[in-house]
Amino acid sequence: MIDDISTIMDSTIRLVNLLMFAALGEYVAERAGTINISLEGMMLGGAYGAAIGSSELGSPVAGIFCGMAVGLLVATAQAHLSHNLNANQFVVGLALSALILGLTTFFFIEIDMAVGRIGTLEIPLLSEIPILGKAVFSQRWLGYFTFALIPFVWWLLQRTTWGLEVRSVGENPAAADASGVPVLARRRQAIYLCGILAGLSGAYLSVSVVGSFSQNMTAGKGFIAIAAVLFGGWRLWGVVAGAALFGLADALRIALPAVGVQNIPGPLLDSFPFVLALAVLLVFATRARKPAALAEPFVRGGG
Amino acid sequence: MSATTGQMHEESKLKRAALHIGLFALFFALALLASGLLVFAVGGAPTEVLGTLIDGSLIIDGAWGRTLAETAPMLLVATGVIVAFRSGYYNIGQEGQVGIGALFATLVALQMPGPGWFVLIMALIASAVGGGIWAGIAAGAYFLRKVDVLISTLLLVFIAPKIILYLTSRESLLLDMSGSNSRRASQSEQIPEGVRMPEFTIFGNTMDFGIIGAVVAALGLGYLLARTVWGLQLRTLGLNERMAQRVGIKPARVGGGAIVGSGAMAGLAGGVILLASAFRLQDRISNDTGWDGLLVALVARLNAFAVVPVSFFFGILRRGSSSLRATGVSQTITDIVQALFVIAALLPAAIMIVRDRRRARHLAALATELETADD
Repeated sequence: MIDDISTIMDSTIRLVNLLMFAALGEYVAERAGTINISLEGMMLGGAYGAAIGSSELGSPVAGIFCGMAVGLLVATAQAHLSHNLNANQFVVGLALSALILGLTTFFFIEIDMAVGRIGTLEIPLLSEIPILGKAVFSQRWLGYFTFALIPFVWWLLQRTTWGLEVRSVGENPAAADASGVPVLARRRQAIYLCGILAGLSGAYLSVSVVGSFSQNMTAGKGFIAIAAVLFGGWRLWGVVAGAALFGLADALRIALPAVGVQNIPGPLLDSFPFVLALAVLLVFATRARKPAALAEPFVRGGG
Repeated sequence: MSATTGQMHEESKLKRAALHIGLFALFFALALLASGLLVFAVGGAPTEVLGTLIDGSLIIDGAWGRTLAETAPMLLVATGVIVAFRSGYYNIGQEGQVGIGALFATLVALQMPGPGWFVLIMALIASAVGGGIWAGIAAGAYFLRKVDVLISTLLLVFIAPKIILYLTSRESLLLDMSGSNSRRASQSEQIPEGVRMPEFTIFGNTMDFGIIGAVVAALGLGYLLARTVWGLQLRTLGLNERMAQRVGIKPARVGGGAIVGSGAMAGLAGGVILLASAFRLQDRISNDTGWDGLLVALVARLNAFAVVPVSFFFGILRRGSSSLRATGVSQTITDIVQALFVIAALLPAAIMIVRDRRRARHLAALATELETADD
């Protein structure tokens, strides 16, 4: 029983980290007023970039940077198309996600990869804690970034001028503009940060969790991360709770058959994270107050 | 002074239209060129790939009939996408709605007694009902519980194939137990011959009636949007929900109807796929038809007339891609072309905006200059 629980905890931590990186990025983008559905593409591109980087440069760390660079590249396209050229952000997001899926599949078939994985870092004593200890304090080192990223994003949005401006362009861009905040630039920058974090999430998937790349390996996790932001009601702690909840759901999906729960049919178990996401949104969505200008394009002097 | 500005305005209007069309042509050409470079990059011959695509989808015997048959479901999906997007509600869950539509059609086609033509019609109606219900979940979630349509329809995409897989893998449910499926693959029984979509042949090309229905639906929608009260209400709602409410348009009725209606069109596409080409239900029955139809509508810039040629172009890519294996180039190249086309279609309007911004700045500078000269 204890063993079963720590097995589940083990994969929970991995999936929570994965969702957390992406959800934190999406959180920043959405606070600035963008529903960034190219998140899935950023993650998949990041996973691919990291796998290639790790394989070609022979270093998983270089791979991680490649993954973040790919995420940033997708973000640049999303940001400039939607917050410079005024293209519809959803259309851009869909097109980019489709493009990345196509490109990674196209070039994946052509390239042989030997992806190096990053190492495990065990923290003495703490990893001896029963049940949680091994899962949390003996993991591949990138996972520990979660602990640093949550306070970092809090500090960035709540304690810096940049963060205040980002929040203001998501709430009332016209007022922000009138007081001299470069609205479109802040929105673009928020998307850049989102791209880097989503790229990191993808890199974590390919060079830390799995150690290889496969076609469409993110399989909708980007959309789950977006659901986590909605579930969290655009509040940091809510987003963290959402990523944790959906990470646990995903882990249960994988782990339940392994620990002997056989009477739930596989296909229904597979749909569990998505059903849960929808169910909790139905319960909690009415309580949340979204950024007032979320998904509203900004045109100076226009509507 | 005012006469000259008026003249300038008239002039630029004509020039604008020409420029706009020119930009579309330019960016579509660039998208094709970029795809050609990708083929080149992996050691393929772009001209050979293009030739194979066109051969396989248009030239060889009976090819364009099959391309048209492949076009029909995408066109139905795209027509539905226009309804939802024009009303301002981003239903992007067509891929799941297609699957649920096919599921409902399967249930009716396999279970309902009666003459074939009657069961066929009922199965098609059922497919639309199925797709409508699946999208209706998202509509209800939005209007009752404020759950964003974009995200709920997306989540439902991932649930639909799992439900189909579950139903088609259970002996007591839809799993095909006949001798032809001795390996018990997760799929339903075959749809009986009498319940399939009738076909017709012109110039040696055979196709089912789906394409005719789909073209009529798209053109009919174009008329409805432009010329009816419903169309005006829908477009008003899409421009500004609050304003629409003020003039007496009920978002829950018009918008909810648009979401359900768009789902019904996608469901119908699923019914057509099942009854015209797949003939059995399995979890991958949509095979990206929902996503492709969504992209068709986006490339067509949500214009109900433009979706007809664009969906045919996508049909060529889909049909032709299956013959690409011989060239040694991955058939996912056509997915890349499709995505690049969506981006290419976004750019002309964007460039016009940037140009307008520059012109406005220029005119403002000119006006200030004149004012200071007057002083």
